[in-house]
Amino acid sequence: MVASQVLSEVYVVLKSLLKYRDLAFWTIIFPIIVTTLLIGIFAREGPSFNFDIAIEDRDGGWFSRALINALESTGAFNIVLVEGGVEDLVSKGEADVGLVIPSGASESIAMLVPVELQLYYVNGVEESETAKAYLDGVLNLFAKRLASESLNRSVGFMPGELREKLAFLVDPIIVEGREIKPEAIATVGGLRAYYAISIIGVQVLYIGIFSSISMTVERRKEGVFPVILSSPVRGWVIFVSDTLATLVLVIASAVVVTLTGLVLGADYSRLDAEKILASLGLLFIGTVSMIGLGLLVSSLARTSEGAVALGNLIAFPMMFLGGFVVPKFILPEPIQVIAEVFPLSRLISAVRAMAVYDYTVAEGLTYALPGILMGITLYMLGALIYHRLLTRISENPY
Amino acid sequence: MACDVEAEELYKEYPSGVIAVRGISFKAGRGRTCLMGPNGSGKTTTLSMIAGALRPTKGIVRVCGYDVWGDGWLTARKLIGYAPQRMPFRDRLSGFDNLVWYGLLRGLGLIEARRRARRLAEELGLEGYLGRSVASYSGGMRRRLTIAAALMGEPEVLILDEPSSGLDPKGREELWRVIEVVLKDLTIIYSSHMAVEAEAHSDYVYIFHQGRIAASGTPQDLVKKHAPKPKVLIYVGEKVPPLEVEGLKPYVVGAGVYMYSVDNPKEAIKIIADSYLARGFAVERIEIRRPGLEEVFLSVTGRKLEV
Repeated sequence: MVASQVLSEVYVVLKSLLKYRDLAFWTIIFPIIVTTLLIGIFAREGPSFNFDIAIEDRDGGWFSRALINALESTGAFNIVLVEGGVEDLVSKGEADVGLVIPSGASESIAMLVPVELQLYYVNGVEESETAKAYLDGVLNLFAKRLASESLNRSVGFMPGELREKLAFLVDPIIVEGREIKPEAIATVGGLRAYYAISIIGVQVLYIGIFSSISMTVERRKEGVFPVILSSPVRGWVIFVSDTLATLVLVIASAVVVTLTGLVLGADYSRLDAEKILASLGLLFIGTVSMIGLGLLVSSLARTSEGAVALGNLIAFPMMFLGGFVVPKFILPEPIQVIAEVFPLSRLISAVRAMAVYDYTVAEGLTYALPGILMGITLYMLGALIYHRLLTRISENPY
Repeated sequence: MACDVEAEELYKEYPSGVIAVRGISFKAGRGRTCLMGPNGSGKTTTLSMIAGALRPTKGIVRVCGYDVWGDGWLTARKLIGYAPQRMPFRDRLSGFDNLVWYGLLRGLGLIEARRRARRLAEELGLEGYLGRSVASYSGGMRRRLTIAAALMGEPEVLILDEPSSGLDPKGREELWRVIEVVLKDLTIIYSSHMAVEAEAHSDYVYIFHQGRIAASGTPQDLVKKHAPKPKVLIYVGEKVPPLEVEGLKPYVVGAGVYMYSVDNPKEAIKIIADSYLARGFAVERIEIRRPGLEEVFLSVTGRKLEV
């Protein structure tokens, strides 16, 4: 009996999703639109570096071939080999930079004689300057590698100590690359997942608050409470039923947003089964916390219009200040506190940390803990408000 | 099977200070019991308290012996079906889905709720409309759906608040025909502000006035006791004063409308009309009215039954 009663609101909400266009729009269509927009605007592929370089290879030996190969391997240059007129091409803007490899360069290097390359660029033209800086970097690396190889070939007979000193002169700084977990930056796919999860957060925020308004103020206006009160159903059963119905809407929205993200290239590969389970748990707590907040709002409003306005007054700014649509680190520091203390922000941040920044479940849940505690407290408070509302309505339905 | 509903000293005062019901006691058994009275007389408040939708300030309501507002509240509510004046249907959902929701709320399983919704729709003449959205229902259809919703839990006691309100006389008769066929074995308590309806469709009537029961009994007993004499109503225009005719005292029903209680209406109608004509007043209309609950209401409250 209780199971049927608990599922009564779920039945209505599932049927309503098919019949009430506004509900279907806000639950299904709206999040698709917003996810597409956010990803389209803020998580596009980054600009690719691609410079046109004109090279006059007067050497034609192993050195010039190695250098041209090195430039090609960066993928940043469109190489055009020319017979002459490099300076002219750069000055006309037909190439961003120009490089002349002198004749006999291969022999010079073999004899340990420095080679002078001529690099043409236009000062004050951003693309040309950027191409030059990039080319400088590639040439430096190439020179270091060349020097290192020459050193190994030429000074192998020297005593160890002297060899080390010479190696230092060739390569005084050793850089070791270590991969780390990103915290504030992400890959493009990760960034898309970030925004998809953010929109799920927005949906939880709105659905949670407005479901509460619907289950209290709207229900009172429509005269549903007398029917509920005259039914053989306990107050907590209806409350749980409403909570489940809200969760159904949240899950429908979350599925749609996740799939939209997937279609648009969001990378969820860091989410394993454990993390998905933890994320669902956090979404559940996020939803019930917003139900609690919505009930708090409803208890302050006298009319349904007032409750809707108050709900919007909270939900709309929180969409930005809570670090959902606008990432928290972009916000001014004093405002970041809001996202730190708002339970749903904390819970969604934890989901994002696991999905995008590869936090472990333990790390994610630890971060979310204050949000979990606050969320549960809000829900309990909401339950208390709902109980009081039922008691009040049974004494005065008007 | 049906069971009794007992109310003892029911009293309801709203937080605003308005006292809607002032110590009402009654008993209703199998059959149709009508709470008759004008708007604001306390009928809806009383029905809400019986149905478990409104907590009385004082007093006890028992349904089949279970205290609606005490320990037996859950069992009592299982035995009650309640159809408020305006049932809160989800208008864009079908009648069927709305009925299933009421069934689930009353604790039926989904399959049973669906089965019962179909059966009730058939019994109440809604089978062709069950798949349509409630928004497309006529007033009569909506009332039938309301009754079907109240019956989803298979109650012993059915409480109907103004079941025929908003319906034309034909719709009202059709609705009652259906109610009487479907609900013949239940305890039905309903409210009405229409004396004609109460008279035609009640086994027992409680007349409500200003939050109290002014009189009660079967319609026939009430008429016999409180309004045994037929009435003659004369319509003479606003400016004509009421006249005492051969010891018959007039009762002012409205502006220029006067009523006389008579023993022999056929004789009295001529005498009364002649009296007015003899004084030079024009008689617009004169009629005999058989005594009914409207006259009973007038007799026991001193006021006309007005909506």
